[in-house]
Amino acid sequence: MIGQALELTLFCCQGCGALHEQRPVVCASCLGETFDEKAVTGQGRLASWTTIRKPPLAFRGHGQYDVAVIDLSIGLRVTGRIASQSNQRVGDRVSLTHRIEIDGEQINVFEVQQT
Amino acid sequence: MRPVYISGIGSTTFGRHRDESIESLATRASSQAIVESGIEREQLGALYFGNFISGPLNGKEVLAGIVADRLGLPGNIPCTKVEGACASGGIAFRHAWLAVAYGMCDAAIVVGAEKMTHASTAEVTSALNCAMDNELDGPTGLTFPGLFGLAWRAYDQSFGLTRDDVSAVVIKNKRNGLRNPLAQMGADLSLAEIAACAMIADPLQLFDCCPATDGAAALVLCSENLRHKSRKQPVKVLASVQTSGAPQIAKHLDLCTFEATVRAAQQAYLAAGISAEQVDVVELHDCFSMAEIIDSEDLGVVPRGQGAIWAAQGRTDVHGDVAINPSGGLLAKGHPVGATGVGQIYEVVRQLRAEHSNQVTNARIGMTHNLGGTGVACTVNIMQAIQ
Repeated sequence: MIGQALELTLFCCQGCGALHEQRPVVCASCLGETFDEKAVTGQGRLASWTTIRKPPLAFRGHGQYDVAVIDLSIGLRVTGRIASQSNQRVGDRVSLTHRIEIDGEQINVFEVQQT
Repeated sequence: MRPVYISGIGSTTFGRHRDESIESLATRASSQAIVESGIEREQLGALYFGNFISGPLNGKEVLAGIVADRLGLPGNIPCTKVEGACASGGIAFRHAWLAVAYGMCDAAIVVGAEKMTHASTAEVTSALNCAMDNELDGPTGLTFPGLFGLAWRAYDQSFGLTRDDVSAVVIKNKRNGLRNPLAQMGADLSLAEIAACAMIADPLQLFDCCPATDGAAALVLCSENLRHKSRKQPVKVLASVQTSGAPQIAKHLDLCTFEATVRAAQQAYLAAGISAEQVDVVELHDCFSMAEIIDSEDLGVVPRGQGAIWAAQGRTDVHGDVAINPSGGLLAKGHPVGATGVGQIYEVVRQLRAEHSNQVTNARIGMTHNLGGTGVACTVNIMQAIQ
């Protein structure tokens, strides 16, 4: 088992309670304009992943890297990076372990939990 | 709404055109279509131009008006460039169809064009990534091959999918490309050759990916009163549908389907008054091998979970249950992005006229499917041969 998962900050619409990964201009569910920040655990399951070996210009020089789709336990699907392991499978439990900064953007990096 | 016919078609070869500009490619294809339609240029009431990345890759915009001028079209007609990522051509076609169907004009021309092969792979990848949600998906470094790498693993989890299963699609489309003189890279490939090529976005490999391509295709659409002018047998448009879908990967709750395609197909069958079983030939958006598997199931022409199996069993061959991508598709014919949706219709028209170099026997009903971005834009068209 790896260490405690980091938290993610989501944005919860005050009007309808919909969760958003980034603070939206308006809530796509109800057009509400006010949001509460909500810290949630960075735990979830691996929905899929791929290794990018031919990156776009902005990522050239980063080598190959793994992008994943994660289903957070809170009930929201997000994209991020994953520190891949050779034996990981779709459905594995994952935790948010750290973040990397690329061009001023904080990118979430998950790892598969070893049981 | 009144019936609409395709009365003239034109196309360049798809491939490398290093010494020819995008304006020239588009003008050449358009001229062919106008001449074949027999319609005077003064009778064309609108031009729609499908293009995606002429700005970043060629530094050229306002191509609709420029090509209309090259063609000597009337100076007072609306000329509109249409962008919807890889579905740009399909959307441009639909706008031309709307203009004729609802009586804005009796004839309209649609042309799609792209010029890509002069750019490096990284430059093309970056330009194509303009079709991604670059506030959420883009910062992770995801690419479009990566999207279909994600889809492959999710599909494998749901239905089971091996390298050789997916290779059946590659083998079929590359082989079909050998029989299409317009195709960029037809090939006779073996399972071993496909499995040995470079990894691009695991598990997607090089032969799973369509090439960067230069090319243009054009069509003239007209109402009933002008179709007799055509030098060839016109084809009737039974349905032209456009839908939207989720622009972010994370909003696709099932990575094995594109909702925009499912909805567009359902609406198109309803509008055309036919069922999926009646479709004889399909040109669908196989930007990647995995995409054909998903698209064929989303369109309802292959049962869910059977896309690769049908290809392996020959059921989507030219003489199979339903012919899928007899042109070679994007994988072999090539993918000049803005031209692709128009080029698909060009191929189906030739099938319905029974004049295709890779002819489907007794083709009466044809379908095209053009998908943009992460499934954010989709068009489906259904066409019928006229006796």
